[in-house]
This record gives sequence, structure tokens and C-alpha cells, in this order.
Amino acid sequence: MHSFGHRANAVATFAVTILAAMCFAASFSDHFNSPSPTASVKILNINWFQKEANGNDEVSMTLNISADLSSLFTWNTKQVFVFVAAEYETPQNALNQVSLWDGIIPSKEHAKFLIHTTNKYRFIDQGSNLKGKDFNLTMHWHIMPKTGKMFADKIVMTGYRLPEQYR
Amino acid sequence: TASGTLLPVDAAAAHSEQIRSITPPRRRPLLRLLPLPPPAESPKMDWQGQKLAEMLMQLLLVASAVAAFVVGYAMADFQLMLLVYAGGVVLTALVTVPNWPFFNRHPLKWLDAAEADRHPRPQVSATPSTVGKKKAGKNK
Repeated sequence: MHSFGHRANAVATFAVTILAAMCFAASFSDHFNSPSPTASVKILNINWFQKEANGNDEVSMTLNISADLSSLFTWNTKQVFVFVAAEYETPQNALNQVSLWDGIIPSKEHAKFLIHTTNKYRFIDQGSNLKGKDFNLTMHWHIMPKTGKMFADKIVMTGYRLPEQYR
Repeated sequence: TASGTLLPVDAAAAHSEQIRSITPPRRRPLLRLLPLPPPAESPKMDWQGQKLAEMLMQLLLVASAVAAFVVGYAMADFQLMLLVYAGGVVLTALVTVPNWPFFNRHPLKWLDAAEADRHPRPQVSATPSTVGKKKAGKNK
């Protein structure tokens, strides 16, 4: 503290240290947020359902995805990554998880949405297990922060069933 | 006898010459009389000022951080928090980094040279340790 340079160095060093503490506090404040998101996915149509040449089943379907994820956003949220996955069980795998659609919600104003679309990614099974298969549609989200810890959660929606016959 | 009288005269002359060469010149050097100019250096903050500057720096930065966090949290605006904190850091730097007059209110006062005369350095007296040895020798 005995010279201009020493005092400037002390201010800069202490300021950066406290900035780190402030970022930590901002990330910690996200723990006090209690989100209450809602989501609903309807399958409007099975467009086609075939066995591929390599023996795997593949499905194309039209989805109606609606959700209100506004409560996930805090002052520390940069964006929310959300995706819809089909989850089911086969003799080969206890959990099969196939992503059908995903999106990035950049702000709170865009967090309430309704999307009518075919599945963005192919719904392909590792084998030929999809005839008459019951499955869940699960909406997952990852809350990406400006600084600190990322939170992830999901909503599971049940009661979906594929047709018994190929179309 | 003539040669006897000449020898001490020559020796005395040589001795007096040696004495003259050994004796340093009496004249004082001119530099000793002139006072040395003070070194041209930047003014330094005194000790109390340095302590005050450090305490003030820490206090202002912590207060800025708390204010920034409260404003950012209340307005739900992360960028506003960073802007308020940046403003606080700039203000802190302006207040504590330059050597302002209020950091120099307690200059250190050195003692006068007269104090050295009033409190002279204590003289170290040598103890007579050889006397003991001599006594022992005599006794034997």
C-alpha cells in the first residue's frame, strides 16, 4: 500500500476475488427457485411404421408439443435446453431412450409454446421390438445458467402405445 | 667526535620529515559544509494513511458487491449487477489508489540531533581478566 502501483494491484486483486464470490452467490440463489413447469405431448398420427432393411423398426409420427416452462427462468438463467424422448423397455435393454425433438428456449417470453411437428430425429429401435409397444414420452430440460451450476429435470408422460401392425 | 655529533642531527632531521609526511592536511573539505539536497522522489503515503487506504478499499469493495447483488436480485437482472459492481470498483479505485491529502495527516516525525547528545551511547568498559592469571602465576 506504499505506492500507486501497489494500491492499484490491491484494488484489482480484491475486486476480482469479490466478483467470484458474487457469482457464487448468484448461482446459489437459484436453489431458492421452486419451478412448476407443465408439459403435454400428444401423438396426432403415426405417419408410417416400418421395419428397415437392417431389421430395426422405425416410426415417424406427428407430435403436438405444448409446455409452459416460464417458472424455470431466474435472473441467472441464460437459456433452457428442452428435449422430448421416447422411453421404453425391451428384453435387450432395461431403458431405451430415443430423442424425438429438442429445442432451445432463449428467454422467459418464449417459454410458453405449442409446437406441431413430426419427430425431428428418427425413432429407431435396436431390433424389432416396437410392435404394440407401450412407451413413455418424457420431456427433459437443462437450465443453462449465466454462471455456476446447471440444473436438470424432467416430466414423464405415460399411456402411449404403438400399433400392432406395420403401416 | 665530529662524526659523532653529525649522526644525531641527520637522524633528527629524518624523523621530523617523517612526522610531516604522516600528518594529514588540516584544511576542511568544502563538501562537508554544504547541505545535501533532498532526493527528488514521489511523495509517499504515511503509515496511518496506508492502513486507512487498505481498510477503506476493502470496505468500499464489499459494500459495492452487496449493493450490486441486492440490486441485481431485486431487478432480476444479472447484467445490472455486474454494471453496479463495475461502478463500485471504479469509485473505490478513484478514492483509494491516488495519494490524497487525507492519507497524509499523521507524518512520522524524526527526532532532532540534539536528542543523541542528551542520551549518549553507553561506554563499554573492559574487565581486567589478566590480573587473575598473574596472581595464579605468582602463587605457584
